[in-house]
This record gives sequence, structure tokens and C-alpha cells, in this order.
Amino acid sequence: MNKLLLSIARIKALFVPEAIERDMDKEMRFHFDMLVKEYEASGMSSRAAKEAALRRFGNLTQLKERGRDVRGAGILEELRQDLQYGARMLRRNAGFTVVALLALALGIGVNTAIFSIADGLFFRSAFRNVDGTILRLYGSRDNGGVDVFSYANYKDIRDQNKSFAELAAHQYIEVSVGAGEALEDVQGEIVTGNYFSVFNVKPRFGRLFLPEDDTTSGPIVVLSESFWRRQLSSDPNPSGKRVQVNGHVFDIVGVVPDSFRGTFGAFTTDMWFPLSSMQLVRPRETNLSQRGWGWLRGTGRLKPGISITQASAEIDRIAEQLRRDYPRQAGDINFQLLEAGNLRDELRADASRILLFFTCAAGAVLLITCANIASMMLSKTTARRREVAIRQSLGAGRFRLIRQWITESVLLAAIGGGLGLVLAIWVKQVLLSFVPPEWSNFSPDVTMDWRVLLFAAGLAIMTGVLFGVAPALHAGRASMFSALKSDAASTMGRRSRFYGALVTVQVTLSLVLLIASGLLFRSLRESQTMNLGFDGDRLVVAHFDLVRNGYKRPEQRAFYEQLFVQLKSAPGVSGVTHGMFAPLSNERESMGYRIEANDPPAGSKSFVVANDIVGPDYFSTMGVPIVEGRGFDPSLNAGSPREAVVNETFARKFWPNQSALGKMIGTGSTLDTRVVGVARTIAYYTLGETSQPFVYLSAQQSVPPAVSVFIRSAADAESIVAVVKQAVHAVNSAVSTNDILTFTTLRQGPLFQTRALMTTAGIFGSLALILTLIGVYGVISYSVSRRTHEFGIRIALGARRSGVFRMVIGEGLRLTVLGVVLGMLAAFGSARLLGGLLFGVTASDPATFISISLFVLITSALACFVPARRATRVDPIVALRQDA
Amino acid sequence: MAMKQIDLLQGTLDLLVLKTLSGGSLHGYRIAQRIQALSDEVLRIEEGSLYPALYRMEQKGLIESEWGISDNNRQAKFYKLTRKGRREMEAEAESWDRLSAAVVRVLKAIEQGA
Repeated sequence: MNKLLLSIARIKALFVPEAIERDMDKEMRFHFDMLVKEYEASGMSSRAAKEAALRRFGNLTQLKERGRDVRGAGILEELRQDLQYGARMLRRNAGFTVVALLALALGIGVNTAIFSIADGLFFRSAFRNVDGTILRLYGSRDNGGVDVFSYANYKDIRDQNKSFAELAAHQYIEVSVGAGEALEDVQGEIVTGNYFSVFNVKPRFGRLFLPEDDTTSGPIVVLSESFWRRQLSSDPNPSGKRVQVNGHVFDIVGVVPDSFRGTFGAFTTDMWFPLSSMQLVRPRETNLSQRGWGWLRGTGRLKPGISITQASAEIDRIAEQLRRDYPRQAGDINFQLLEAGNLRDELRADASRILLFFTCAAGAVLLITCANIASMMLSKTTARRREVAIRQSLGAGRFRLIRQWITESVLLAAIGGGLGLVLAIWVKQVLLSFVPPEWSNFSPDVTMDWRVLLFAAGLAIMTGVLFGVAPALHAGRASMFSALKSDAASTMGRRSRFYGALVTVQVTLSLVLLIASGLLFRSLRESQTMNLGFDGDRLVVAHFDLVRNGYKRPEQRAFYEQLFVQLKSAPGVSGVTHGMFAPLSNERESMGYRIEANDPPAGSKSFVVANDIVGPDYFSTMGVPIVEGRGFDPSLNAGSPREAVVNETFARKFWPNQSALGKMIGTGSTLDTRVVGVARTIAYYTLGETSQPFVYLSAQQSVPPAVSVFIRSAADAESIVAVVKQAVHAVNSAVSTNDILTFTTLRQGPLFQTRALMTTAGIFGSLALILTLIGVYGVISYSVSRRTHEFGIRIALGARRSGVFRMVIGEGLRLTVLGVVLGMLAAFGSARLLGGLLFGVTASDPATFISISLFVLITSALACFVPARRATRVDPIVALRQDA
Repeated sequence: MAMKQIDLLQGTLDLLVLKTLSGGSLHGYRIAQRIQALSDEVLRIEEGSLYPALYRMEQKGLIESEWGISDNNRQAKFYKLTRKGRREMEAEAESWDRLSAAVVRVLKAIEQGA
């Protein structure tokens, strides 16, 4: 037999061990018969001959066993046996198996889902950047943050560098496609002509951009394949068709295949515009040649053999030259190169922080799962001591037994992993649903590919080994001898301690998760009920990007005036006004003020105070009470004496113990503005901020650099959003109405991180607690069953049943208390990481810490309840009669 | 049987089996018989050792097996040497010769010296 045939025989032996068996039977039968014949020939009776032959053969079963050992498929055959045996054991302990599988599926599913998201965001590239040769070029801020640069600077770098095979510049931009009801906001990019060649993208239809499109193209656009499918119904001949963008008609010149999702893969791009159409999609009173106008970021492909360090050094040299050549426009310019990923680099830190939190929480759940299954299996080792002893006496080696246990637990984990993979698909959707609505085109590629499968498989095997190893070593150690003796108390002590440690770890981890969730929950509730100082219900906030539609300043004013006319007569609208920024939008403008009777701080000419430039009826529409004086006079105009309204904090800070009315302030060199009213202090930037001084100026006297429109509704705010959108389209059907939201929705925006983390921590924490309670229950039940004899003696000697009950509960609590103390310490340390997400509560909020700790203690006491009751029901006579 | 029988060292059995097979293919019973006969009934092969040894050598590729028909017209499994087995046999036989010669020399020397 050659090697191949031999291997075939081995594999055959694995699946058809019966074939080997028959083969050996037949061969030995022949030998046996020949022996019998030989003995008969020497004169024995046929019966004596048979007996003699049998004696010679000895133990036929053992002989065949040895033959099997040699001939069988070896390790593969043993594995098959172990798997078969393991499956049988799992079927026999169906209750344990179901609980363990559920826990594993959850643990592995959640971890896999998080991995698949992290994979999509950080590791999988939307374009081929396997070798890391695609780099981002950014300007540098003083604090190391990323910045944009001008086309003129880009051109110099592009033309002077020798490191990049291709260096493109681009900027993402939101545009409105279509008109009226069908108006859709679409994510686009404005790109240089060489952009697509950086990524080696070939068109699906038509053509992509050329270098000359930077300066001399008409209004042209390249579409994504998904946009082409969606909006052009997969028109087989898209080139030459037209599409309306920001009110202008663009010619479609090409379609990019689905495999390319734009510069930042997690944020997909649907339209690409050449640099020359910048003035159409985003009109500016400037042109490309202005070196001071920074608006681009870069992406380039390195030449083969050039390292990022070499390229950085060269870019630094060019930057130095630029600083020398253009001290006025580029005197402080600096650049940095980063490896290109799927996220905008400004978001990377945020995203990785959230994912890190998720990963830790999910990891903790998996650890608890492992600890739990390990302790469940450990208690089964006791139940299975006889089985182990029998297998040992039949000649199974210690190593073989350990392997059997680990095979069994890995089998369990593998099934759990399979279920987890299914669960992961669902968990992933839940996690992605936390993404805030304004990230409309955020759709990272998180399909389950072989890497995710590999991760899940690896996790399952690792988990199986992790929770299988302790019981396996234990089973391996339990000798036949000690199993035949009755349970020796000495080995019990060590095992109980191990159990105890597992439970303590579980309690610690679940407490950390629950406390994190509790803190975030309190923050959220605090933020919902926090007094804003104004009436935020029934308020709609509208924001418009008029530059996109080509409005110059005077035209913008006309747009708003027409809009207000429309809105005031619209049904259900009880008030309309405007300001620069919505409260809590985290945006404010500040100016330097001179203030009557106050000397500016040393070294400066004025006080820096946040302000807003507001429309008529601002205070009544927003529900900000005027506590002294009055609001702005409706007949104010640029020529009348300047008026201001300050808030209470301002008045108290600068004119303590006196009325602010009639006092003078000014933004210029003179005190030219009279305070006519004092308004209640509200939350301006964020919830729970400390009271800030604030100044309101009138839009009738100052030109606001930004406009937000506020509409008060007579009834529910949600009901007039559509009315507002209609009013906008009555003025201009090409203006996007995407940014018209109720204030209630708007204020949820910044809370999405808190909400996502709270929900995750809450779900994971509850899961962890349930697992932990099962663990506590298991350990105490086990302990009670071990101590039946002892309880019997105690009760026989007159111990009260209530005393026994307390003893068992006490044992359970001892395990938990240590875990709770450790958990509180760990939570105290880790809650600081949540710092920025908490408001209204501190990271060491005693109420949260104490209530959750108590909750965990009480639930674990309850988990001990059933075994404790069992302990009190021990019948001393039965217990004592049992062999100790 | 009255004659004193000698337990075989591990490895020696393998050599004997290989040598026995060098004359052509045989089935297990015949191998045992042949060794016993050639050693003038001094070496008796236990079936309990023979088959494991055969299976082990087959796994190692020293011999290969095939079902055939025995002298008495029954199905029997015949073993025969492979090329690798023949090389192994030669190497083993040579080292056995050296070993036994050395043992004999030592025994003789001690006899004469004493």
C-alpha cells in the first residue's frame, strides 16, 4: 500500500470503524481456526483444541483493542470518539446544555457583532489600501488636530513632491438633488481630476474626471452605482442624462462601481463633482487661486519603496518653503500625513472610545459566561467522578481524560458560537441603530465576511478551552483511588475556594457594568427633566444652508423675510422668530464688551461675553421670561439708539445689588448700547452648564452672521414640521428642508453616545447579573449538597433550622460582599472614563453606587434562598445514615 | 511443551517477522509457525504480540497486506515486505549481528578470564 492508499484507509477507518473491526475479526478467526486444526492434528479432542487455542490467543478483546490502537486513525479516531461521547454527555445534561448554550450564544454573539463593526470602521478598507500606501494629507493645527488647506498650497505640494505617485485633493459636501417634495440631501465630494486614479477606480459607465476638469469643465457629475440604481432606476445608458443639484442642471458623465465608496468608506459618497464646479455647488466670493482659502484635504498613493517617514520629511521641506515664500497667507502652515482609514480622522477618537467601551462590556460578559460555565462544569465533575473512575480503570490515561473534557467544552462552545453568529447579525443592527440621524450616509461595510467568521470561531474555541481547562484538570487529577474512597473533605476546601473566586469575579464585573449603566441612566433622566429656563416643548428649529443654493447676503435676507411671511400665516403656528444658534446646539458666538462701571481684566480691553443676535418677539416665542424691563422694541431700526437685553447672571455679575436697566455696554470703543431688559438665565451650550453671562442684541440693528429660525406651535411641535417644510418650498423649492427638527429631537442629538452606552451597559449588566446569580445559586447549592451530613449533625445536636438557614445565606453573602467591594472600587476607577458623558451626577454618585450594590446583594441573597431552605429541611436521620 | 521458551525483546520480533517475510508473502498463522519451526521450537510467537506488531509495521509502511487464498482454500490476509521494509530488515539484521557477536565475545572473554 502506498502512502495515499494508507491515508485513505485511515480516513476510512475514521468514518467506518466497523470495516476495520470486520477485517480484524476475519483475520484472527482464520488464525484461530488454524490453531484449532493444529491441536486437533496433535491428537486433542476438538473441545480441548478450542480451549487451548483460546488460551493462546489470550484476551481477544484486548488484542483487538491494541490492534485498533495501532491501526485506527489514531488521534483523529480519538477525536471522533471524544466528540461522540461529548455530544452524548451534552444531550444527557440537557438543562445545563441549554443554559450554557444561551449564555455562550449571547457572549459570542455580542463580541462578534462588535468585532464586525470595528472591522468595518477601522480594519476593512473601502478601497485597496492593503499595503498602507494610501495616505491622507492634512493641514496641522497647533493642538495637533487635522485641518484643511487651500488649492494653491495643494498644487505646490502636488507638483513639487517626489514621494507620491498621485496626490489628489477633495472635500465632502452636502448637496440637494431634485426639487420640491422630491428634494433629497445627498453626500458628495468635490475632487481634483486625478482623484480616481489615486484609488485605481475604473468607471462602470462613461468616464471619470480628468486633470483638466479642475479648471475647465461644465457642470458635470459622476454618480455612485447605488445612487444610479436608486435614482436612475439602473438606466443602462446614464451618460448624457441630467440631474438637478442645488438648483443647477448637471450632466452625468460616468458611474463609479459599488466597490468604491468614496474617500471615507464608512460615510458613503453618492456624487462626485470636479473642482471647477465648486462655484455652482457651493458659491463663494473667492476663487481657487487664493492661497488663504483653506477648504481641501488630500489623499495620495505613495510611490513604491517610499515610506511614510520619507514622505513626511519631504512634505515638511515643502511646507517650510511655502512659509518662506508666502509669509502673509501661509506663514504658519504645516502638514501631516496619516494612514487612510474609513473614518474622518476627526471622528476616529470618538468612534474608538465608544467601541472600546462596547468591547470591554462585551468582553466582561463573555468572561462571566466562561466563569459560570466553568463552575457549572466543575460541579458536574463531582457528579461525573464515577464515570471518570470507570474510564480510568478501563485504561484511559490522564491526558486522554483531560482531552476528553476539553473536547466536550469546545464542542459546547462551537455550537454556542454558531448560535452566536446568528445572534450577532441582530445585535449589530441594534448597535448601529444608535448612530445619530445626522450621520445619514454613515453605512460602514459590516457584512459578515470570513474574518468575522474566523473571529467567532477563534472566540468559540478560546472560550471552550478557557472554561474547559479547570474542570478538565480537575477531572484528570481525581484519581480512581479517591473516587472509590468517599469524598475526601480536604479536596473540597480547595474547590470551594476556587468556586468562590469565580463568583467574586462575576459579581465584580457585573457591578461595574450595572453602575456604569446606572450613572448614565441618571444622567439621561437628569437631562430630560433639567430646567432649561425656557419653554422647549412645542418648538421647531429650522436651519438653512442657503449658500448651497447660491444665495448671496442680501438675497438671504429676502429669503428669510419671505419665509417669515409664509410662516406667520401658516396654520398651527403661534409664533416665529430667529436667532443665530439654537440653545444647546453647542455653538455660540462671543464678542469683547466694554461694560459700564467695570474695568476690563488686566491686559485686555474688554470682557469676552457670549451673545446672540435675535429677531423680533424672540423672548415671547422662545418662552424666555423677561424678569426686569422689557424685550426689544418692535420698531427698532439701524438708526435708532442701540438696545440690548442681558441675562440675570450678567446683571448680577457686573452690577451687583443694583438695577441693570439703563446701564450702558458696547462692542466698539464706546458705550453705545443701552440695557433695556433682563432675561432669565437659560442653558446656552449644554445641559447642566454653570450659569453664564449672556447678551442679546437685536437683528433689527445688527446683521447676524448665522440664522436659525424658531417656530412655536400652537399644539404638538411634530405636527407643524410638515407645515414649515411647505412654507419653505413655497419660497424656494430647491432649498433643503432636512434640517427642520423639533427642539425635543434636537436636544437628543448630543445624548446619543450616552444613550447608546447606557443601553449597552444596562443590557450587558443585567445579563451579567443573571449569569452571576445563576453562579451564586449553583455554588451554594453545591455547598449545601456537600454539607448535608454536617447539617444533619448540627440539627441532631439541636441547632435551630433558622440558624442553618442564616448560615447558608451568610455563606452566599460572603462571596458576594467581596465581589461588591471590589466591584465598587473598579467602578469608581472606570466611571471616570465616562466623565464627559455624565451631567447632573458625579462619577462617584453615592446614590447610584449604594442602590446598585444593595440590589446585587439582595438578589444574591435571594439566589441563596432555595438552597438555604433545602439545608433546613435536612433530615438528621437520613443525613447521618449516609456515608460521610 | 517442555522446552524452555524465550521471551523476545521488543524489536526482535519485528526483525524475525521481516526476515520470515523476505522469502515471500505469508499470512499471520504461517509467520508464527515458520518462526517457531526455524528456531527449533525455541521461539514461540504469542498471537497477542504478533498482530499488534504486524499492524504497527503496516502503519509504518514496512509491510503491506492483501487478502488471498490459503493452502486450505480459505480467505486469509497475506503480508509481504515493501522496499522500505527490506531496507529496514537489512539494517536491523546487521545491527543484530553486531550485537550478538559482541555479546558472544563478552561471554567468551569472561569465561576464559575466570
